[in-house]
Amino acid sequence: MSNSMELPVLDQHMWVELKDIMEEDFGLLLETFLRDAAERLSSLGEAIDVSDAAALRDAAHSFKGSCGNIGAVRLSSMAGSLEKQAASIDWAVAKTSLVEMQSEYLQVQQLIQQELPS
Amino acid sequence: MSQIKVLVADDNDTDRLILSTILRKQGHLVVQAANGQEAVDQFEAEKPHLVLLDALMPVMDGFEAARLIKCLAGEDLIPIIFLTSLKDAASLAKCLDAGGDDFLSKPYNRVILEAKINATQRMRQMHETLQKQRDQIAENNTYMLQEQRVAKAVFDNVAHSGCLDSPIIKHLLSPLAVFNGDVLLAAHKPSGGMHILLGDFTGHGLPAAIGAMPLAEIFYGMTVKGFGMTDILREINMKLKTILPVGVFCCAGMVDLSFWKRTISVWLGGLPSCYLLRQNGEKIELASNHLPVGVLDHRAFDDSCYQYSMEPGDRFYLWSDGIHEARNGLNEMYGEERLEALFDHTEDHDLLFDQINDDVNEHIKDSARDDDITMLEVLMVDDSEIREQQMVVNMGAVSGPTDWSMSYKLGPTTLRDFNPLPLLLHQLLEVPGLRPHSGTLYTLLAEMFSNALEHGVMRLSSGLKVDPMGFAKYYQLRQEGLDNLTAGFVEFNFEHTPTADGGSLLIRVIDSGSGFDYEDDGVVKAGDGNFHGRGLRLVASLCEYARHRGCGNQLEALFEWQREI
Amino acid sequence: MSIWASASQDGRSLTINIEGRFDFSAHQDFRESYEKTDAEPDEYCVDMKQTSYLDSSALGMLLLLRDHAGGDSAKIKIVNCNTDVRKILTISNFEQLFTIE
Repeated sequence: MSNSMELPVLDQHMWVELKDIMEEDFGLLLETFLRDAAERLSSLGEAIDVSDAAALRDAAHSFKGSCGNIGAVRLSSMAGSLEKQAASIDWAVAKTSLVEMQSEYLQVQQLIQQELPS
Repeated sequence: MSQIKVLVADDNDTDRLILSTILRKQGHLVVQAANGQEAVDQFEAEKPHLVLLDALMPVMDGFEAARLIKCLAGEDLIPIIFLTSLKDAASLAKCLDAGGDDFLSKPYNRVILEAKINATQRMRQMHETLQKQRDQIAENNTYMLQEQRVAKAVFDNVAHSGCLDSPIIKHLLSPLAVFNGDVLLAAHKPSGGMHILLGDFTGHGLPAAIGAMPLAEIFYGMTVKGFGMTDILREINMKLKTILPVGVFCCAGMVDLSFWKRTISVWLGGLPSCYLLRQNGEKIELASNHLPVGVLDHRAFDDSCYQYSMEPGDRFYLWSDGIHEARNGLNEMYGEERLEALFDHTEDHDLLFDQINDDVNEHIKDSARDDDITMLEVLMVDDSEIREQQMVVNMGAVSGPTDWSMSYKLGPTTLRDFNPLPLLLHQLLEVPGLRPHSGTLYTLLAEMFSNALEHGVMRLSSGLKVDPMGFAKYYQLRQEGLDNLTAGFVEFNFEHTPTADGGSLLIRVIDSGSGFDYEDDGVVKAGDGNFHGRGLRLVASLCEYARHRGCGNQLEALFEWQREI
Repeated sequence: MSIWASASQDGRSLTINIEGRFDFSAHQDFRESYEKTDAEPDEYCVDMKQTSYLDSSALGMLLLLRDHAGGDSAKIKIVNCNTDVRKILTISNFEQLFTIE
């Protein structure tokens, strides 16, 4: 996952464009993401607990997509790697990756919540 | 870009939200689905104009959903654009193979999305236009077929078979007849004998068949009234020339058979050569020597016919060019040579007709074409054989006055302004037996009338008619005399009596002139020397006799006719 | 099937050439060849050197040309006919209306 660290937490350019597209619905998008992210991380955890490679792959794929959509490129890249390795992963490594992603997510969450009206 | 309804199917909430927002901001209506099954359900319920489908979805994936949606769409074109984050060519191709019309990569680019929506909508609209046009064509086609059915029914009623079912006739009428304008007509003549006509209208389809109706009416109407073949042909030609546009005409062959006289008269214009086949195998070819009917005007029309004798057992063949033009799978025509060969090699003439039919059908069997054969064979028989059939015709069809007299007196106004001859002729032709002689009768009336009018009433001297100048002067004087006519009359008396084998018509024409001294008993001799008695000599040669009566102001002629059996 | 017309130098005669099958599909082109010309010819020539085939609708088209060219006073030659074309013209006795060479 080392290459992911070279990516910014949030892609500013995309962020701006998203604001432009969504306009008054930008907040709705962020809230939707947060909800979705919580579900995906939970799914990832479950998949690792039962060692279900297919479920892991699907959940990682989805999470990658969502993160990509709102410009959380680093988190997206991490999910992407997990998706690629899902078929032959060592479950211990998977657990570690998940923890890293959760930590990354907290950063993203913070940045997002700054955008949202309180 | 006008508003459309778009179905967005993606299991990812943020994806769906972004895409829907973009679409809504472009002015479109959006319907959402979160998995493949929902996508199919929503498609059925909402009937969108465009479907954006994520490839990977739970419950039912995008590919399966696409397949079902295409089925539900039926023959309508509802574009499907696959949403995919996959970038490899194989996956993208799979989207298209699955029934997608295009794909859109994530992350979504607004500009590209809009461009793709426009492109797919253009495709959809073109498809819709094609469908509408196709439906319109199908509807028009149905109308046309219906009209053709009606036309065929009318055609069948008018061009009824007449006596085509006579035992001496074998015939085939092309099944495509109503569309290629083939007509085959046959009728007994009241005086005995038979008329047959084969017509091949040119110009295609229904317009060709339309000419067949007046033709059939004239043929049957005039035949049953006893008119001769050349009169009928003239009438048909005139009618068709009048009603058909330039370029549409009728190739025709007409036959007048007399069983009593054992003769055949044939008029052939535009049809391929027909054959007269004698019992001993001698084959006579009669080539078309006239322009088709409906081309020339009345004056130029040539009614000259072939005349041949026929013994019982001789046969006559008439056909349209369908036989010669019949093509096999290699597009070779059947042609004249093959036809001739059949004639030369078939010993039993009784089998020949069917041989021809079989041979032509054998020739065309490999081609996709329908057979288009119209042909007829008529057998000459002894007239006793045919008489019974004729009786039926005679009894119902025609009865006219047989003994009668009529008088017509024309005063100066009428003489000046009116040609009475057609009217008088028309009256005379009420006698069925006189109808075959309409030409002769007209000549008689005309000569006797002009004699009475010019020499009697107007006292013109035919001494003038010695040279062209004299003729011109004569007719100039005639016109002047007519224009200034204030007194005088010409009277026609007709007396018709039946005779043992026909009838006799006595014609007397009386004028108001002072007459002249005629020699002897006034009988006009057919072979007289003075040339200006030409008209009267003609009358004498056409009748039993012609003679002057009264003080020279009466001319009497007796015309006799025999019933033809 | 293609049809083209060319006028003589002095514009008094128009030659119409027909290549291929002269049948119903030639209808419009044939008409246009003599209707849409600037020349006002006294006489016409229909050159059938490259005409493979002639059917009855073509006969009709020839009659239309004759009508356009003055009917009975029209001067129209039909030249270079092959055997098949000649035969059809003969059966229909069209030499009574056209000069056929």
